[in-house]
This record gives sequence, C-alpha cells and structure tokens, in this order.
Amino acid sequence: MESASSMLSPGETTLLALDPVIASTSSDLVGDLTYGQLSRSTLVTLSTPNVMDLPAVADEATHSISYTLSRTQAVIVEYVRDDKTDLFQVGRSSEKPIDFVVMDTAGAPPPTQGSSAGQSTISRFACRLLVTRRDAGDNPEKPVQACVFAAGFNSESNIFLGEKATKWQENNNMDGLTTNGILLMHPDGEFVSGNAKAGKWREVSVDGNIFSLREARSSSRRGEEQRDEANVLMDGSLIDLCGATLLWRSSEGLQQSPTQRHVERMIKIVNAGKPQCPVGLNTLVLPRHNSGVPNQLMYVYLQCGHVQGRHDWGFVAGANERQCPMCFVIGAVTKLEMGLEPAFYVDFEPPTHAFNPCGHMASEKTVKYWAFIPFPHGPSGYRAMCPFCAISLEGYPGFTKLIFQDNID
Amino acid sequence: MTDTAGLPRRIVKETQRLMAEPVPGISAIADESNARYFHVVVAGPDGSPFEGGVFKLELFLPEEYPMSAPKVRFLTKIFHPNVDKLGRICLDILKDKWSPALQIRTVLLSIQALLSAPNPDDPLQNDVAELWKVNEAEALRNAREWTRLYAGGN
Repeated sequence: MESASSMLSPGETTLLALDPVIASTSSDLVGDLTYGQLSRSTLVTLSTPNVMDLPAVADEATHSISYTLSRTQAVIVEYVRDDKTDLFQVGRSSEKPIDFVVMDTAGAPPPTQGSSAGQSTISRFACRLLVTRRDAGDNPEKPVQACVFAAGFNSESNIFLGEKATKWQENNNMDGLTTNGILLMHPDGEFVSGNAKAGKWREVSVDGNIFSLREARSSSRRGEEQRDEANVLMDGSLIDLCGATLLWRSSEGLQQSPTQRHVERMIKIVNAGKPQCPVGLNTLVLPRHNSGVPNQLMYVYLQCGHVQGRHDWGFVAGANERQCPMCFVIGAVTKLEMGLEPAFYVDFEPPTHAFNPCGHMASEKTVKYWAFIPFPHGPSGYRAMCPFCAISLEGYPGFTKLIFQDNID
Repeated sequence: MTDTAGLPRRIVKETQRLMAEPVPGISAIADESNARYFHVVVAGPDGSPFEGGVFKLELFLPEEYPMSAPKVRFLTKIFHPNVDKLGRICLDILKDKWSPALQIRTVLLSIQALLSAPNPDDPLQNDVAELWKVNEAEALRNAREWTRLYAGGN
C-alpha cells in the first residue's frame, strides 16, 4: 500500500489509513476481500479433550472462536456469513486472512520484561474490523460503520483463546482479551479542523466490548467495563496493536482533508518564498521527497526554530549541539523534511512547525495535535511521537515553530 | 569590477547588494585588486559630535569569513572611547559576539551606531573614556574638534 488512503475494495468507501512508517502493510489489498460477511450466531458449549477435532473448528469454511476453559472444557462460538458487513483483518502474519500486514514500528521497546528486543509484540492475527456494507439501493451518502475487535481469524478460520488467556462469561456470552491487547482511542472532538484532543485509551475485547486499560499491558486482570462506550471507529480513532499504531480515517473525514497534491503544493509555497540561509546567503529548497541537493537542504535549530542551510559554525565541543548564528541559543540541529502523509494532517494550513527531534514539518495544528497524543509505550507508559516517522518526541513541547528568512526579495 | 574567481558566493552576493542597495550614510567599495578588501566611508551621524565628519575605514574579510569576523579599522583619526590611536575598534560583534549570520552591512551599521552612542564603560582608549566619564562636555568638544580637524567636518 502506497499511501494512507487506499480503497479497501471497489464500491466500498471505507478507508483505512495506515502509514508505511507507523505500520507497514501489504501491497495487494484489493481483491483479497472475499472473507468477511460474518456475524455471530450460536454459542455451543462442549466437553472435549481436543477442540481441534470439533466440526466447527476443524472446518475451514466455518469461522469460530474457541475459549479454552480447561483441558477438558472449551466454549466454541460459531460465526456465520452475512451480506451486510465486510471483514478486514490486521496482523503480522502474511497469510491470506490478513488484509493489512503490519510490522513493528522501529524503536518501540518490548511491552513486557524478558521479551527480547528483536521479538515482535504484534500478534500475527491482531485485530479485525467489521465494516457495514453500502448496498446498491442505499443512499450513497449513507455513512458506513466500522467496528474493531481484538484478535483475527487464522488460516483455518479460527481464533483460539488458550487456557491462560483472560476470558470470562457474562449473560451466556463469552469474551476475552488477547495477550498484549488491542487498545483504542477515539479523539475528543473532530479530527478534521484540529480542534480535537486526545481521548482516553481503552482496551477492546475479542467480542468488541470496551474496558479501561489493564494495570500493565499484558496483565491477566481485565480493566473495568465501559458499558456506555463502543468499538465503533470514528474519524481519527487510533488502534494500538502493541508495536504499531493504526490511524482510522473515515471517507467523510478524508474528503475534508488534504491530499497528496495539497502537500506537494505546500512544498511549492515554501520554496516560492525563496527561503535563504543567513550564513551562506543561498536560496534553500525543501525537497519533494527524501532527497534534494545537499547544499540547498534546510536545517532547523530545534531550540529556537531558525531555519538555515548546511554550514560548520557553532559546534559545541563534546555535545551534539550547535549554537544558532541568529540568536546564539544552543540546541540540536536537524534536517527539515515535509511530512508527506496527507491523512495525518488535520487542516490545510502551511507547514509552519516541525517535530523535535526528527524535523518533520506539518501545519501548526497538525503538529500540535500529534505532539499531545499519548501513545501507549512499554508495559504501562506513554510517549509522544512523530506520526511520520514514529520517533519519540524530545523536549517540551516536542515541536518547534519554524523561523524562515524568506520573501526577502 | 574585481575578479571574483575563487571568491565565496556569499562574498560576491554581499558585495553586489552593498552596491545595489547601499546603507544610508555608508559607502563600502571593494578594492580593485583585492575583492576581500573594502574601502569604507562612514558619515558622522546627525546629533553626534561626529556630525558633518567623513570617516574612512578599511574592512578586510579574512580567509575564514564568514566563519570569523571581518577586520575593521578607522583610518581617519577619531576622538572616541571605543577606538584607539591605531583606529582599532572595540565592538563585541567583531570579537566574541561574531556570528556568521552577521554581514558587512550589519557590521558597518553597528559602527555607525557606535558613533551615535559611545560606550565609555567598555573603553579601548582609556584616557578618552575617562574624560568622557568625568567631563562629558569637554569630551564632546574634543570629539567635535577632531572631527573638524581630521574628518573634514565644519
């Protein structure tokens, strides 16, 4: 998938925004969607030494979730197809049932002690999205509804919650949590316009119910159920897979959001101001992609925001910091690059701000929105990160207002 | 114009801009044979004891310029607490407060400002600075007299 806004299937208007940095995804999405169309049907309780032998489990055509209670007891929930919804699955597995293959975001630490750094923390079948269909007779304006559930069906169309998994029965309904859990955060306010703030992170269960977070990411005790909250995705909802975070953009939201073309126009506007290096007195150029002429690249002094070209003045001995020739403030310096993923922008304003320390530029509201989103990090912590490269933000507030020397002539 | 081959682009640009948009009251012209050497003339600022005077200076851009400051010196004798007998100037931006974001233009503006506001608390010529502090009226009289004698002022 090249950009965040690939169509899921022809005729479907739901869009799943996934950045290649936040989550790498497979390139062949369309045409792999004959899955889906599932809804829950019956609850069967059986006593058996091996759930694999049960017809519903052994049969690949039948989707089922088995909750292993003990060695001899399991609850099998069987699902049947329906023609009102489509199922999309997200996970680390590259097997056929996974529509969006994700990989761990570089730099994320293991959520539990003891797990080694190289080991992925994302489940192979991490979560599933159930999206309502828009039928031929429907009003084309009718919004589709997408819901997220923990765990995805494997190649045998099964989900297994083993003996040790957190699970429970309520009113004849089985439910449970996956090992590292699927966390969900709805923005508090409208994502489009940038007036939203971070909402509360919640955990979504295998059956799509909402809970407060566990004490630690993979604790065995579930949080409090939040009965008045739902697993229905909003424009701007974040789904944390423990190792990668997905941003959900609705088609309605994307229609009011910048496109790739807009981002490229913003680059042109920055360059049209002929920003100048105050030291070299040469014109600087913001490259369209991660390239550009070395002597024309822009560098930002992250403490003060002064944008300059490449030069060798102001190195501080023994530190990775430089003194700004414009204001003498000492701080780190980094190359400026445009944040290229349009689905992360909350408005259409020019890129006046950049994240610290990576130097990814975006509009003021976009940078401020993301700088104050706490992303789950480690067993029970949070971090702020740049959505474009997933690096942890440094300093407070974690971004810089850019000061260009431009529009001089 | 002087041969600009091998001259950093920045110096070429500064020179061009100094000619195209000169600073009021200041002229800076590159030497015929050395593009790093500038003949500078600064008019004594109105309202200062140097008013009416025309002060000649030399400005040289060292090899490391702009990573290090230009060398500037008064050629015209001047009675000023921050300029010594040899014409050397006590100005922070020519020393530890130099920044490559400064230019020939900004240096000359700073020197012009120094003529408007002598700073006897940071002296280079001690006897002048002392007089400036204990008897400012006499110091100003001397400055005006020197301006008339050496800078062609009236």
